[in-house]
Amino acid sequence: MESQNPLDPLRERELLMTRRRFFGKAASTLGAGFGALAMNSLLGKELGAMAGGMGGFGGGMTDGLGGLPNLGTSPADAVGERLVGPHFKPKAKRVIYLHMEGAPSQLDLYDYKPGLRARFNQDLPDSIRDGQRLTGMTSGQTRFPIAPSIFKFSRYKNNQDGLWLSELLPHTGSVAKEICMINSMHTEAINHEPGITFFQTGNQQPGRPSFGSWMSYGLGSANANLPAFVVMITQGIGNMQALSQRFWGSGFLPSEHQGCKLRSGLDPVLYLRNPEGVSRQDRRRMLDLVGDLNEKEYERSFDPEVQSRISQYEMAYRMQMSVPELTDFSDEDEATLAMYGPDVHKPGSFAANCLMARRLAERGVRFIQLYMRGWDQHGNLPNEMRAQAGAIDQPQAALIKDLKRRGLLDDTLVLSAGEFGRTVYSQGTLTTENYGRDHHPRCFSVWAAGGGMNPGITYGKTDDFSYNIVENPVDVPDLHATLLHCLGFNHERLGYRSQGRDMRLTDVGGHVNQSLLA
Amino acid sequence: MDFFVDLFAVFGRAHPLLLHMPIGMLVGLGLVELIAVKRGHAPIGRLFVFIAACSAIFAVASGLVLHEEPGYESSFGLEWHEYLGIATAAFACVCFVMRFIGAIKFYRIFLLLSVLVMIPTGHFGAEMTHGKGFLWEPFETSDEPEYVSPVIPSLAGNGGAGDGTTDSTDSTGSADSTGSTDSGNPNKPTAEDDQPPIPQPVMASFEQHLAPMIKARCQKCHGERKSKGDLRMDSVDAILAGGENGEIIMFGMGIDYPEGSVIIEESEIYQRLLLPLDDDDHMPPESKTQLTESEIELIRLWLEAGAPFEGEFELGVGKQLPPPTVEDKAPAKATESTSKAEGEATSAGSEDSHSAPPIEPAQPAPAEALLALTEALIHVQPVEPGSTRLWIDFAAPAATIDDAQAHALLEPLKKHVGELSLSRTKITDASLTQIAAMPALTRLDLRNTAITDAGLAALKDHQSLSELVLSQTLVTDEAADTLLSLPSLKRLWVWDAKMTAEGLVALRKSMPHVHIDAGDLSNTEVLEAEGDLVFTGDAPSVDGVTETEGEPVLADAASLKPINTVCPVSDKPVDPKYSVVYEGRVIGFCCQNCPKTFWDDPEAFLAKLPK
Repeated sequence: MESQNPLDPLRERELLMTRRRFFGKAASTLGAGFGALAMNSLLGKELGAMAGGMGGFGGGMTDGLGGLPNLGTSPADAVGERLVGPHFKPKAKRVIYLHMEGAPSQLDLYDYKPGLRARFNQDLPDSIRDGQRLTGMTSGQTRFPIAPSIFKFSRYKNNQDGLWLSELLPHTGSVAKEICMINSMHTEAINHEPGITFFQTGNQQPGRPSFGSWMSYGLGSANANLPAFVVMITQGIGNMQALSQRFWGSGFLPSEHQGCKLRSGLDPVLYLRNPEGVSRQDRRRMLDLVGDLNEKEYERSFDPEVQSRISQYEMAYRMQMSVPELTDFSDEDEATLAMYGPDVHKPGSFAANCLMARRLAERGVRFIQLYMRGWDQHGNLPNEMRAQAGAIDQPQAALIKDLKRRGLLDDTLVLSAGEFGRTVYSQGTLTTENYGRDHHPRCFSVWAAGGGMNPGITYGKTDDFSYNIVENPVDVPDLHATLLHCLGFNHERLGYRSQGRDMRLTDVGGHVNQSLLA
Repeated sequence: MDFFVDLFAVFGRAHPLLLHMPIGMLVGLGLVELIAVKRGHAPIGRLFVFIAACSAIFAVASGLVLHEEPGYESSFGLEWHEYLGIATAAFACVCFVMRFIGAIKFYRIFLLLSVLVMIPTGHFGAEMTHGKGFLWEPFETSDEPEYVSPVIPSLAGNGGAGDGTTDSTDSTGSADSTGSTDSGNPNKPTAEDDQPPIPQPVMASFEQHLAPMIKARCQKCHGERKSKGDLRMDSVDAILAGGENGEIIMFGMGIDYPEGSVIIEESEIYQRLLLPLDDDDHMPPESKTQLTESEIELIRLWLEAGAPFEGEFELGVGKQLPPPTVEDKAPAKATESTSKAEGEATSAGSEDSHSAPPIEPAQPAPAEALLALTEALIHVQPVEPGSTRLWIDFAAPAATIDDAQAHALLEPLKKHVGELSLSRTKITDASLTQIAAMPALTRLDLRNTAITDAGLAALKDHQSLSELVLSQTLVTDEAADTLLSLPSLKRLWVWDAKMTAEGLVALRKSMPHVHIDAGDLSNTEVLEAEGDLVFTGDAPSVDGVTETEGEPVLADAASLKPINTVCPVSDKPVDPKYSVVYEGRVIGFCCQNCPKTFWDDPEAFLAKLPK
């Protein structure tokens, strides 16, 4: 039985399509099967208009090209008809998003608080915590002893009065002039799952499209042979939390916009080769036939997932050719490999994934997301931090340098962020050698480079305890709005109607922060 | 088949015609039936009712088709017009059915209903064509003089495009606007165009310079059709009257500001333009075409001169008049000039006096050529929304692209290529002759190709090229000549090319305004580094109990030894690094996950701990 619930996405789509159906039906009674044709030529616009319920995405890609007739029907780009296109001239054409999963400690990497050294093991003043909610992991602690970072900091020359970085990040320091450091991020979530979900989708509840999906939807792919949104994961050294597939899910957007995860083993994509006895022509013929059947089903049901399926099959077919070339590092020279560090030869390591990210970026992939796991250092922080930071420092600096010298950093936005920060007080036993830190949403540090972000600056200030923000707070929707601005989007106009409402990445918030823009 | 689509569109546009049929017929029927009831006559014939119902259906159907056309965004009025219109037709149909089966009483009830519903339908519809409040307008404005200033004909709503201002230098002007001005306006003012600027105070007038701007940028929402915020800007009096928030030009009353002068800081006509773009009060709204900086400056100067509506006012020596405002044609261009984006979009070409801006082709790129690109899996999109210049990226099929293929695909698009990436393709020097003939090209990426100095020489004197990526090519020091001949060049990448260190130094010296990246710029120096760290702290006091701790607190480590040797959760041996403090006691665990279990219900595990 067909669902009548208007909040059912299929039913909703049907309601939106009613007018279009009226066209089709009315026309087919006129004979000549003109309905289907009218559908084809108008569908692109209709979808654009539908998605543009919030004020019309007049600047759709097809429109902008003027005479280009219906990109959607070309075999190259079944996605074409859904392209939205930027609202104004973008600075960044693609994003490399390094997500530090587990939330690294801003106190031990970025937010320099030398004053804390004189407060070792003192209790955090109540006036600072001010009734802040605690996680279940420290809510039972009787005292909250201040744990200054045991790592030395250095000041690196940037375009202001210098960038302070922990001794764990010497390579990152070497690209300080490219880095836009934000020390005043804050979030609403206090646990990993909602924290990452908020950072990826703009909402703590699961179900919204992730940033990469919005970009796939908004920008489309610049390389028809590869997905627009690629995800790679590096296993961490420390305490790891679950990493749900839905972090790169497409929510209510058509599912072809979801992130494509490359496996971290030797074989990034499984079953790329055709089985024994099946030639590429056979495969083509099979896909054509299945495609015809799917088209018929789509004409009947208007289910966007059928189109997603068609385009995914085609994508997989093209990836059979493009992926082996992508993942073969043999064309990289020795110096480049050495720059990323020794781990670059280990598939799935952060170094290998950074190099892969650069290769994807130069091949036009729009949104490349690397997850580095293992930052959840509730205890034994110094040791785990050494290992974790050691794994990311050289590769991430190499990534920036490598993009820069290839002329790619101007239009590639690199972002490094965890889902929240960590507490100044120690979780568990505090010694001068060892401590742990609990989750802290009130302030933390993220950085960006390239792609129209203001290079070589430090933005925002926290108090002496890195506990509260005292200057220029940036919340997650603000960051999203600013990133979208770099990508050529007005965050209030990039939307999609779902469940009767026009949804956006920034939901009802978000302000473009001009200070963060170059 | 397009014929049927067009026919459908015509049917939709006939809506304003068709809709009068049911209005006339249903009201007429109603009157006839009213008289019939009064005098006891028989009801009117079936045929009339049938035609009335049919006309209602046609009116509704054409309305729905018309809704498909652009420009009919869903709004409160439109939605209700639609719903009520459908209701009217539905009632009319029921009405006919009742008449057909002879249920005269119900027939008359439904006739009455359809007429009643039709009245608000028509009202909402009329508000769409004539503007909100059209009906009651005479009452509202009767106490004001009905006066549209004869001084400023170009300010009135229906003036022809661009009358009073012509400018042939505006290269982005759409084809039809130049067409209309070329036809020649007999009353064309001769003051400011056709003559080069003279080193004297530049004069401007409201009529010539501000009125067209206000008409193009303000009157769509503050005019005859719509008057948002109760503000109209289509006459001098309306501008002076202001809107719901009061006057938009605040004139001085004496004391600090002499009479006749304008208090610019309090004049919303200017201040609203300065608000941040995402401010709700910013004008024009974020999604609409913004005024340029020079246009905003013109308004300020006009206010400074006391906001004269007649006669000329002085701009000052050396000031320039902004180019005439062009009314929006393509909605896609709407955000093109948004504050920051605009600055960046044009900065590539306009910073230096000797650089030429890229030539934007007037015609969009040929469709077949674009289709050929997408079929070859080559990415193509406008460099910015609404632009006819294209960003073309060969990334996907790069490994298979040679000179012949690139040539065939790019030849029909030569004028439209704005940014071109041939990175990682198999092209050779031969392709560069074609690339040199791309007048709108600003960014060229030849990274990782077999390009040599000889090929690059073809680009000599290219006027608009501002970014050039030559990393990983065979280009040597000899390329300097070509590179120096590029007037717009701003950024250059030569990492891993065949240049020598000395050649690079010389090149940097000879073109100081060009940012040259040879992969040697990234490293940054350490300004200072911390020495050995010393941790100190006072003895903390918890719940009035003073813990005894040395200073520095190094000795404390021993006192924080766990009291247990076996993990209370897992019964495995304790690893001291996974310890928590609970009720003043240090409790050790075997791993980092056990403390979480412990905190869920500490009391349950206490029994397992030594006293």
